[in-house]
Order: sequence, then structure tokens, then C-alpha cells
Amino acid sequence: MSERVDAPVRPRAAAVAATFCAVALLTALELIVVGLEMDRAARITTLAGLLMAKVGLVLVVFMRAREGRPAVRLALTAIVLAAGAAIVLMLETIFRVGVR
Amino acid sequence: MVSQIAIGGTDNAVPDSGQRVGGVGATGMWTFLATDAMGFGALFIAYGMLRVRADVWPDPRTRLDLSPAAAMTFALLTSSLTMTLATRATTLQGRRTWLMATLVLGLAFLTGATLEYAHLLTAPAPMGVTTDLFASTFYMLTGFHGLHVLAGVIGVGFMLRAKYGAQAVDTMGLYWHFVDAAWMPIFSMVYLWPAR
Repeated sequence: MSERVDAPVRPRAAAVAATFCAVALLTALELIVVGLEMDRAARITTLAGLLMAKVGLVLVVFMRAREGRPAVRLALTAIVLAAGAAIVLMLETIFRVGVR
Repeated sequence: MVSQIAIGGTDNAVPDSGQRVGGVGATGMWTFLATDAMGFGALFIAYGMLRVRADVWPDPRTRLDLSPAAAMTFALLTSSLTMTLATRATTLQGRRTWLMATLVLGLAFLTGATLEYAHLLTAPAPMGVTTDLFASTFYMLTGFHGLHVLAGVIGVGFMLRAKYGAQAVDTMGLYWHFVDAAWMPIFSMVYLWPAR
């Protein structure tokens, strides 16, 4: 009786191509936002939103974070907490400095 | 038997290490990435605190050239695509081709970073590590990330030398995508976020 072997679950080619295009587009949008005349807080909020969208796409599609294994969930919790805490803390402190 | 085929086989078919998805390699890599993410997170928080508490913080565009950094960003992003294509390849030749493309793009990123450092250090008003807080945090964040890219390039180089199984390339891919994802906040916060 042969041992059953599962092949690695890979994202579909269309999903990979679409994700690559989406992340490239979001990066281009970041560069466009930097050149726009807009309020500083709005600019940083927009850039932070674009950043989170890019990282989310890479995590979900390229790193297949939706597989839901315990190790992945544990790692994702740490990654999201670390990145989220950094971004929220920065936005909060920037806001406080702006108010002050 | 499986591992012999995976590492030393001579057939043109893509070998598989026989590990299940979520095996020891992937679990170990995810655990490592979790700890590494906390390291990056700590650096980002330190960067944020230093930035908002600094009396003077220059606009990044007055110090850093955006075009080379954008090119480096696209090179790293494209390398994530080629790494994904390497994990999807159905033949060893195909896998080697995409791994080679990933290696070249990783080296292009490192070359860009080196040239950027050289430009900053030899400019008429050079920006050294101890010039100010902006410079210190810039070199710390980009240097820490650059070391990760270098480690990834070395890892991909090893993958090219031996016929590793599909799961091993998949695990290496996780690391590579993480390095790509870690660059995104650096590019955004250090290069793009305006000064107060």
C-alpha cells in the first residue's frame, strides 16, 4: 500500500497574474499619490491603505495564507499584529503631533 | 527513496519531496517568518517613534531618489511572480529557469540598493549612517531588509545547484514572498510618507 502524498496546493495561474498586476497597479498608485496636491494626513492615510492592500494580496495569494493550517494562523497572527501595531501606532502618533 | 529522487535524481520530471502541505519545512518556515515579522515590526515601531519625536525630519524626496527605489520595488515584486512560477513549474528545466529569473531580479535589487548607498555616501552633502536620525533609520531598515534579500538570493542559489523537491521550493517561496512583503512598508514609510 503506497503512502498517499498531497501535492502542494498552488494558486491558479489567473489568480497569480491578476495579483501581480494588482500589486503593480497599487504601487503605481502610490507613486501617483505622492505627486498629488493633497492634505498630508489624507496622503498618509491613502498610502497606508494602499500598503495594507498590497501586503494583504501578497499574503493571501502568493503565500496562500488562506489555507488555515494552525502554523499559518499562528504566524499570520504575529505578522498582522506586528505590522498592524506599527502602522496604527505611527498613524496615531502622527495624528497626535498634528493636533499638538 | 523519495528524498533521493528529490535531491539527486536525473529525470526531467519535477521531483517532490513527498512532504504534505504544511509539513515540517513549511511549519518551520512559518514559525521563522512569525519571529522575523516581529523583528521587522519592532524596527517599524522604533522608526515611527523616532520620526514623530524628532525635532526635524527631512522630506524623503529631498534626500532619496524615488525612481531607483521604484525600480527596485518593481524588481522585487516581479521576483515574487517568478518565484511563484518556479513553484508551479512542471519540469525541472522550467523550475530552474524561473528560479534563475528570481535570482537575477534579487541580485538586481541588491545592486540597486548598493548603488543607492554609494550615491548617498558620495554625494556633495553625503548622508552617512550617523548624519542624523533619518539617515540612521534609513540605513537600519533598508540594511536589515537587504540582508534578508541576500539570504534569499543565497537560498535560491542553493536551490539551483541541487534538485530540491517541490515542497522545498514552495518553502523557499514563502520566505521570498515575505521578503517582498516586508519591503512594501519600507518603501511606503521611508520613501513616500511626507515629513510633517
